[in-house]
Amino acid sequence: MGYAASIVPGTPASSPSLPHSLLRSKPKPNPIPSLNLLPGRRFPFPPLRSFPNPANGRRSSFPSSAISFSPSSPPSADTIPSKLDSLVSGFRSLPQPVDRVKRLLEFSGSLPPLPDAYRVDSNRVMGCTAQVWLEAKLDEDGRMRFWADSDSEIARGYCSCLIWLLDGAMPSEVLMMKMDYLSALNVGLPSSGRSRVNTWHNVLISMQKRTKAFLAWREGKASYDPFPSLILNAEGIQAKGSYAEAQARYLFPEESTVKELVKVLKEKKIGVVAHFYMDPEVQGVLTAAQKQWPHIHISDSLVMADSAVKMAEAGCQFITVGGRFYVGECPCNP
Amino acid sequence: MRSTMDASKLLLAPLNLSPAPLALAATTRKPHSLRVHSTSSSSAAVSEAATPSSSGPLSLGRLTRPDFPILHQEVNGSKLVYLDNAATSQKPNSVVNALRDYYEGYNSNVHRGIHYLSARATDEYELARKKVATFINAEEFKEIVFTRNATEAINLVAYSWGLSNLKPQDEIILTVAEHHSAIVPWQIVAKKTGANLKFVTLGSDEVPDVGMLKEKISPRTKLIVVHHVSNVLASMLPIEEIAHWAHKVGAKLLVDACQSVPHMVVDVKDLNVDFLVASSHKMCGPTGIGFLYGKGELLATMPPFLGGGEMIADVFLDYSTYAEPPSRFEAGTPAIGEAIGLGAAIDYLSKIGMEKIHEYETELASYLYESLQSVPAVRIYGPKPSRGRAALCSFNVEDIHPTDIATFLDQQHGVAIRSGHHCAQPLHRHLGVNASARASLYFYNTKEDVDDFISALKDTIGFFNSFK
Repeated sequence: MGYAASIVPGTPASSPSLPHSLLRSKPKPNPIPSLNLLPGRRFPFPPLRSFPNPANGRRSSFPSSAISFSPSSPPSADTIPSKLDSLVSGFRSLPQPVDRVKRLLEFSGSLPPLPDAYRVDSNRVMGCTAQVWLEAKLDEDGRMRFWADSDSEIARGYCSCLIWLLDGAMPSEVLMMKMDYLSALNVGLPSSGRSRVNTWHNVLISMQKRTKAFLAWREGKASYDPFPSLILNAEGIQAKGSYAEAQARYLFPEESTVKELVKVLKEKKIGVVAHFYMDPEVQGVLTAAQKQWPHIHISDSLVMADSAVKMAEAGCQFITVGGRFYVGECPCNP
Repeated sequence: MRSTMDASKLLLAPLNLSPAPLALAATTRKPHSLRVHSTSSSSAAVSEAATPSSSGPLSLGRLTRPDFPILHQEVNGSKLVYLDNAATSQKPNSVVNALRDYYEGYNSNVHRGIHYLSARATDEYELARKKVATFINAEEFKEIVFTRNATEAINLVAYSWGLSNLKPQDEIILTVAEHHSAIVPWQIVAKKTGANLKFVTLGSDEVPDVGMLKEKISPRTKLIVVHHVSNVLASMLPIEEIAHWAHKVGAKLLVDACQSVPHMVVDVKDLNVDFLVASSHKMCGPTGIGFLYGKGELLATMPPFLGGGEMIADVFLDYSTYAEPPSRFEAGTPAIGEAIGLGAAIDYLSKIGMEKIHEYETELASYLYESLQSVPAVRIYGPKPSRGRAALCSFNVEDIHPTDIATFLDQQHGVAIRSGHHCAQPLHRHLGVNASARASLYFYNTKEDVDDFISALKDTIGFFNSFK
């Protein structure tokens, strides 16, 4: 069988019960499994995202082996969401703290050994009161591989849970794991906070840092994020650094959004005056729309007022004002 | 995906659930009235019924506990047993009230104002300074500089005295058992001035080797930095002797008294130290205040540490003249309420009497050591009680990580101890361990607290051993 089953809360744990996924009636059309972490909160694995690849200008997507999140395939019991589900409910079904510690220690016992070559200072996870070592590699299939160990049994238990969850995972899956999901295991210190003793947090952060480094290396980027800047040279202007690149993308907004806006503006004869402090996303759309409908102007408040008057004189029936939250005055409607 | 059989099987496997808490009544702590007290047969004098003994209802711990409401609570379903006093102490009602009275009655900036509230605040603040001076028998109150804590006080000496007095090839002697705050500032200043640090290691009884210290002293020695009482080893150093050796070569002596001032009589004149530091929060006072004691003539030669208001005489655009000590070293608005709270803590301690506190704690120290020693596979660091020990024990249990022990003690038994390196990494490295657990007592702890700790520890060890 090989997949994890969760212990159904409230029943004596004398025999294994069926996996959660089989107890559900049928695969849902949008089968992102939900966890009972917080009432009404769905497990927030986002829909399959793609990252822009500046090298060829085309958007690249992750390997198709990450299909588990796509709407078309049913959830496999081996997916990380379902494993996390089992792990969390397995712990939550144990109301006595000492039983959760026991469970954690059992996990510790099943932690695969850490090869001596990986037990080096450079693999030490910072911030743990116990010693924790973590090794991370990216294998040929593009999956993250992890090994860990600690001299504290409880910390080994945490490591074992994390390794069980994330060893062999896709980099995106590692990066999407959040502390909040694991705090439900609630062993030892009740706070999920950033104190020095929080092994969960430190090991997970370490796993994610290493994963990001591998991703960056694989995509040919530097392992650090360059300072956001605009590079001007003979060929033109280029944004560099993730923040700058994000901002630059707003200069090329969705064609359909722009078309729709221009249609409404033309139909109803609306002029738009907007302040420089508007979100860059909004300004991007407005700037593009301005090429098709001239009565759009982005400026400071004074020029906004003047432009509005000119737009009214030019025949606009309405003026839409995009202002700052606390700007109380607005140009009057004609 | 690699095989995750083992871990998956875990979730499938039946778990031997522990019995519900009621069934564990036999191993949980009984109320104290059901216990049978055995009077201690240790060395401390336990004479008349009027003198507090360390067991029975009249022990100092029993007498003072009602003054500390924080001790009467449950954590994780068990009664709190607070054994982390070397990290910080609890505050009696009188200290908490002093803080509240200050803020409710006369909070005002000190030294500056001319109005009634300000005058009153200034009086109380300076009175607190006098109380500290009296408490450690300083010659005059001007020798007490209020700081944020002992760490800041040591940094003050390092940056003020150190930077202007240390030259290349000068030597500073420390022990490997010093707290980080007594080591790191000197590393920084040594680097800036070209001075060298020399470390004294431990002798055969796990106490800093005083003979080695004496040997390391030379005409190049300019400063000796030592603890009075070690926060890990519980040992004491012979400060008077060390001061004598230091002064013979013209060196100064800085004593870290964080673990001594709260627990025993400390007389700076008897000890003849040049500098002494302590923190309020370890002696029943609030956090955020500590002090540096410095000999008057020494402080007078030292340049300022932090610049700003209060520490100046006249301020011009391109230069300023500075105030006399202690104001010279107290830039900005001080922690006024906290200083007054420290004064209230000193009043409280003085009312009990430091000799009485020390006597009681000496008995507790032996009781803690012997009880802990009797637990199998426990290794306690530091000297035997016959050599004199503070009421704390750092220890390790064979094959069980101290963090696991501390976590289980807290979660299952409400016992609060510390685990880690206790800001003494060099010492732990020297002892060959990464971390240790530490239980540390204060005068409001009782023998029952020790008993609770030991039985909880045995339960903890049994639990972890059952997994091996």
